[in-house]
Amino acid sequence: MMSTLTLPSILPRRSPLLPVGAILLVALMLSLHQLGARLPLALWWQAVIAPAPADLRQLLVHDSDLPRIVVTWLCGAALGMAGVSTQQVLRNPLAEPMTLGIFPGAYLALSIATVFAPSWLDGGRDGVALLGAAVALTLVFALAARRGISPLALILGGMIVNLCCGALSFALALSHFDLLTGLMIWGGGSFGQHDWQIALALLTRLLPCTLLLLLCLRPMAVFEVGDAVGSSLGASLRMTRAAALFLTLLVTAFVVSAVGVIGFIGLAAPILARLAGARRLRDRMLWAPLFGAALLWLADQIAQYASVWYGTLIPTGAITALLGAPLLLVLLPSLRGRPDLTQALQAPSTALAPRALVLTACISAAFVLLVTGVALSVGRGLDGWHLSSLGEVHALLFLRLPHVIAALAVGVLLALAGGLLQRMTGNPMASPDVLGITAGGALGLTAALFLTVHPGLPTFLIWCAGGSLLTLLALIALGRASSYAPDTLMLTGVTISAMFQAISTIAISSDDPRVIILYNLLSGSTYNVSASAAGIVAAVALAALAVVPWCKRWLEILPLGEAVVRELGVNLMLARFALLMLSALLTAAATLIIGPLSFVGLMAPHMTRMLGVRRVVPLLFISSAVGAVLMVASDWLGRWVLFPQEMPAGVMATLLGSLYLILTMFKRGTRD
Amino acid sequence: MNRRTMLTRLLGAGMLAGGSLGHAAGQFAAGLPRRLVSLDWGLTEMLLSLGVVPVGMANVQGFRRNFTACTLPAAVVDLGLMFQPNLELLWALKPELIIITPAHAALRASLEKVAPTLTLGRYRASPVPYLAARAETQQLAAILGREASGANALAQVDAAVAQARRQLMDAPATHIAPLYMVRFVDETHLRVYSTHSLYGEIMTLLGLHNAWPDTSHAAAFSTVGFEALGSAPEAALIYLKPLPVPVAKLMERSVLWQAMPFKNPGRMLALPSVPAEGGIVSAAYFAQVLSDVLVASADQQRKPANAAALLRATPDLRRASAQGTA
Repeated sequence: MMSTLTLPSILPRRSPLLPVGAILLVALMLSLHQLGARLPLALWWQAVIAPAPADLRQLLVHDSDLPRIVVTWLCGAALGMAGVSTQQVLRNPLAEPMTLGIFPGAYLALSIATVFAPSWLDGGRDGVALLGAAVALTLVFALAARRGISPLALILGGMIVNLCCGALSFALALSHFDLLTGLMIWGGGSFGQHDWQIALALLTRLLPCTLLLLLCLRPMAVFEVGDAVGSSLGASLRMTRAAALFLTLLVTAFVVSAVGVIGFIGLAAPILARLAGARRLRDRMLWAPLFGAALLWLADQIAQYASVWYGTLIPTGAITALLGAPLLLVLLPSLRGRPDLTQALQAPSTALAPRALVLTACISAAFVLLVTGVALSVGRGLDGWHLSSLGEVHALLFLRLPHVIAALAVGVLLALAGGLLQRMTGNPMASPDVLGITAGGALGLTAALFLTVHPGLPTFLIWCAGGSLLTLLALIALGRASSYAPDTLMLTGVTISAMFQAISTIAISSDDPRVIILYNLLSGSTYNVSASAAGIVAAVALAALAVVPWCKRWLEILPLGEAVVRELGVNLMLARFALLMLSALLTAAATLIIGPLSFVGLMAPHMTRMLGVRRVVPLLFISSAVGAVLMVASDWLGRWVLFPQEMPAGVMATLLGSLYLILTMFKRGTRD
Repeated sequence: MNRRTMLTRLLGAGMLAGGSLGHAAGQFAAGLPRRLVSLDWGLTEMLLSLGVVPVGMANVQGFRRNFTACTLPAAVVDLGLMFQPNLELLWALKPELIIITPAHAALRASLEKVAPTLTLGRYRASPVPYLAARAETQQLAAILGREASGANALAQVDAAVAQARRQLMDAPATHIAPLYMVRFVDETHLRVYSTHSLYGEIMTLLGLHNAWPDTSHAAAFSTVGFEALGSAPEAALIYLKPLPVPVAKLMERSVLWQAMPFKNPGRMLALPSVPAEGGIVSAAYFAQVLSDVLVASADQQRKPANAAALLRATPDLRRASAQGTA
């Protein structure tokens, strides 16, 4: 696992009461101010106790404002609690109930129901959302169960399910955009209330879960010491982990089906509670829900004021991230990571013998050629599938060649960036987007779309480059203090990503007609690649392939730990900085060409490791071949599978790759 | 009124019967583009209003679902997604002109490799979308060498709007109450259309008053909660179908909704769905259905309750007589 957060011992012991109280006070004042604008003070009591049926203002206070506040309390507390227990049993400060497939599962189920079976939603969203969440959750657990529900397996499974559901939702949104606008608005976190029904339903569902979770408190405390020690203490880790996760995910599912997506509270509330002085699990279990409730209440108030101010919908879910992310960034330097990578580095399969390695390399190279050939010559038209004649291939080369070259190059670039990062940080979950560079590019694209008038390709390119560059600079500035320690770096990247994600969420739930274009921009497609751009990115990819072997020594030494690195006379900071810059540049180049695309960078190195490739240079080269094959195949399949609907390569790559990983996870599990 | 008959009347009988553009080829002077592809629903509507059937368009299913007032011949090829149409299929269709909107700006370079590309559809971002759509229809007609069809289409729309206005005048007391023009999104959100929307402009032309205050930023619609509609207690609410079932349930359940003025009879009326991003055909269709619904509601309220059964037939009778005189 990545790391466990600990406070430096020099910090004085302090009480979380003060910060929580401060947040609550601000939220209370904002609420009172809003109430005052709605209704004169003299009528408040009447509005709360027994509103006059003819007075719309009193009714609004009683049936809209008050239940809304109560719902923010309930949801915030629930998410805070869910965050504590998830982070505890997975021993990962970045674990958040949302990242484990709950939200994407619910969202996908709602999308499918909206498009194909609208009548399912007649009774409300709860049933469908819960069903989707349950299916996703079951899948995550099924994947992890093969590996003893270890934290790594759970997070990996969650990530796969997450990406898979996300890609499917994306594909649906692209083709049935007109039907899904309502869902997109809801997706940003929808707190509007019309009676006390939702508040009461939430209360009755959350209470039993909370009680059960409190019963697990004592066994959960064992996770402080790590898996190995925990097992030797005789605690039934798996059972506790499964029970606690099941309860927290149930809680999250209830929240999601009631109010939509509220990101970041589950992540930030436990960290804030810990930073504010709640160290023991028992304390965190008390304070994190309070932090969560206070934060969400404040965020919701701010969202309401902002919506009035800007005259457009500002979703509460976005405000939570915009509030929480800077807070986390400021507090990051006071966090120190304790890497817990034993499991992460455990090989999922035995290493290949040298001859097998050569064979694997040859096969992957052959695959690259084969896929490229097919992509250039086979297509589908009005009369069905056909192998293009030489004349047709020649005539269509102007369309097909840039796409194929761009897909090849981007696959290589992302695979290399991902491979470098995973090797450098020793974290198999590291992908180019944990650095936030892709998110920065995406933010640039979003900004270009909404801030400029009818942007063309060059505008998008400039803004995307600007976004990536700014993120990189921020990363360098923020990472300096920790001499680019991997876990701080990744926390920073994730936080930056969350912040950018929040802005995208605002854009997507804004009910603006341009949202559909945003979806297309973010889908990771080779669609808009020109011949010259393809040429440039190919050159960058070739250069990257030439440069990467020079990093061999660093990449072999860095995972051995700081002490060993220093002993071997390597400048730690320089090595980390150079590797970081290299992978950031590769990511930026890929992002510029086809937009943010998370999957290939994460999965290509992972797949290569699963093939049994261990040594640095072969790993990087073979994974770049895997990435290239994945991208070209996805680009080609995406174009023809749902003909004439074109599925963007990014969506297709995610689906293909997840399918492969799900299969291998099941297969490998049985062998272990 | 039957949508098909209305459209046929609008476009001039027989124009759609041609099916493919090949039949109309004789009407083009040499050098004018004949094989057209439209990547936008509103622009497809515009082409159809000129009697031109595109050889291909993006997202045919979505067009049929949303632009119910238009009839699209089955021969039109579906090119897939609106913002990522299948380029090879597009190439295979050998278009002579591709029509796109400013929103397609990022694809323009790719499309131009296949065929000359024309950007239209700016009318939607205009503060007067209906007037702008009229101007664009004429512009497109000139480009296609079909000025006569363009003038004819506009004249038909004018006639439809004038007829709807007359219909409202003849039925007194219908157009006095200000109207909220909305589409329900979900339980907590609805879109309310301003005077800068296609609907708003037509309502003004019909002599109706929009209850949603005119904001300075000239947006076609705002997404708000329904409590935002409480400020004009005398207003009526017109909503575009469909009414989502959860929203209908909420209306029955919520004390809050019950306290809104729209609960009273005749204060909330449903309208067949008309696309907000449509052009002149949608505008004419909107004028027609809006006046029909308002007049029918007024008739119903004027008569005593025990004659309700008879009254339900009245709109149809009146419409029939109106058609007879037309």
